[in-house]
Amino acid sequence: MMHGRRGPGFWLLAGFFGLFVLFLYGPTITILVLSFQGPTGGLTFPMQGVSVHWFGNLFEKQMVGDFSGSFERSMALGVAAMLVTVIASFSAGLAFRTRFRGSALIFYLAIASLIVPSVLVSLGIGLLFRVLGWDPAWYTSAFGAHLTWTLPFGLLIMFAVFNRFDRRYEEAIAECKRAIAVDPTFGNPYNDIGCYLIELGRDDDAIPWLKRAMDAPRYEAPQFPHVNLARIYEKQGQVLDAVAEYGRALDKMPGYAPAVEGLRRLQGRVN
Amino acid sequence: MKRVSAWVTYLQVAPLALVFLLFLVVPILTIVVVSFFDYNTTQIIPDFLIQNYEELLLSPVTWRTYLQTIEFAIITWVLTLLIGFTVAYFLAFHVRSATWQTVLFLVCTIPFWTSNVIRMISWIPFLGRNGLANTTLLQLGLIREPLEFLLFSDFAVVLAYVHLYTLFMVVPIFNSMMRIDRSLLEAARDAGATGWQTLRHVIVPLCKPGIAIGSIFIVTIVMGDFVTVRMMSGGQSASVSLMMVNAMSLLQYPAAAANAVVLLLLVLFTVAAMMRMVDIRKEL
Repeated sequence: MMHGRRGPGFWLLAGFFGLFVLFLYGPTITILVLSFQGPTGGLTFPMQGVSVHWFGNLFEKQMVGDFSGSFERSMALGVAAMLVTVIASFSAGLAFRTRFRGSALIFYLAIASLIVPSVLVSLGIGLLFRVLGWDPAWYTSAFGAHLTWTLPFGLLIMFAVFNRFDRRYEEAIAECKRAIAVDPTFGNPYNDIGCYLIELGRDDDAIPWLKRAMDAPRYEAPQFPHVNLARIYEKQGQVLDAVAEYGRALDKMPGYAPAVEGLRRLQGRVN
Repeated sequence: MKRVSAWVTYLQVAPLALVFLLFLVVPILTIVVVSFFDYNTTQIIPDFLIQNYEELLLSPVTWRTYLQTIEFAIITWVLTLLIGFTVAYFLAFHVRSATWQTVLFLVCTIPFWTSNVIRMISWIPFLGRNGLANTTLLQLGLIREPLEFLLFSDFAVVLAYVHLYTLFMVVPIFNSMMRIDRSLLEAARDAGATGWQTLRHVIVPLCKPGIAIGSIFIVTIVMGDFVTVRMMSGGQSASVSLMMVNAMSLLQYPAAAANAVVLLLLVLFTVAAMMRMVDIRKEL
């Protein structure tokens, strides 16, 4: 399925996908074509000539509302909802990195906000304004109603973003620092901190920790920090430094397989 | 030190919590309270009556409308699930390069940048009596008379739902599929499973969370919809929300509120049943 020639299954599914895309776009394309309908035409084929009559019509004064007014309102509402959504969900995303009292409640409120039909939210907000004797307006009640639909999505996306910076690595690093405080001569926790920082993508911050691991007087597996450092150098393209570190790892532990592999890989790259 | 950081956390989450409180919790509580109020032709009168619920639940119209809404939800769910799963399966397992995956995924997403109403209207020149579908079929000689059921019918409503909402099924299922360890599929093939068996015994069970999330979206959206039903059925079909909107336009707010409470309970029970299949927090 994943390798080799594409079988009939692929073409069948590709055809299905093509039909789906046609289904998604087809009607919109007909509308696009019909918008250039002549002045006597309507929402049906065949076309009664080709013109931009209806676009001109859009900008003239009309019986119900005017285009530019409603357009400006939509834009203002959209931009305001975007700003509030981004700021509120980013800040909430920061808060959700730690467990706090009520975090589950707020999470379930966000989910509820997604699943409660929007017509109910609108009815409720309308009723609330009516009971309080306030006038509903697009920048108050309608704005709030929009936020109940956009904020949950914002929050879920922020969860996905912040999961990249997994809290557990930060917690693990804190544990290692506690271990160092107990016994600074022991090498393992220095190396572990380096590993977690590598996982977090902070290679440059990892290097000093790995070097401290090498200097630690007590360490049963002294080849580890050398291999880790070599991998950073390898990633950064400093081939010679990487070779030197793999070599030091082999000095500490002759025949250590990851170091041998690393050297072979580098040899391949140099050749 | 600890106390300060707790304060910062609460401050960070406050804007979000405040919006949910003001525009979700309080409004829903208002609905529940008002559903017990009395009303006449001009105003609502604070009271504690169960008359609104009695009138609602004893009316055969209510039951017919609820059944119709549930029927729309089930048909739409089945169709979007089949289409959405197939599309997601193609994107996840048959499109090999990540670039193409992104491009094709975007192609599916772009129509969702447009408003629902515009996407609904765009079906009218297609499905009408003299629309593209009928003219084409007539010219091909497949039919003698224009098909009347294409527009302003239950068919049109379901078609619009599928058109509007299939993406809500594609995205979570695609997401689940991308998390499946590819070596599991290799293992299934090495163990002698046919493509079909791999699909049924490996992929579908591992996609369950995505399927559940997509289903929750589809069911809650369809059960709360009135715009699509009103536009695409031409006033011939009803939905629970349409019934509520009609009551609101007659200023019968307490009646609409009672209906809203019943609908909310129905939606929450349905979702609770589907949530049993999946732990949403794990999926994030």
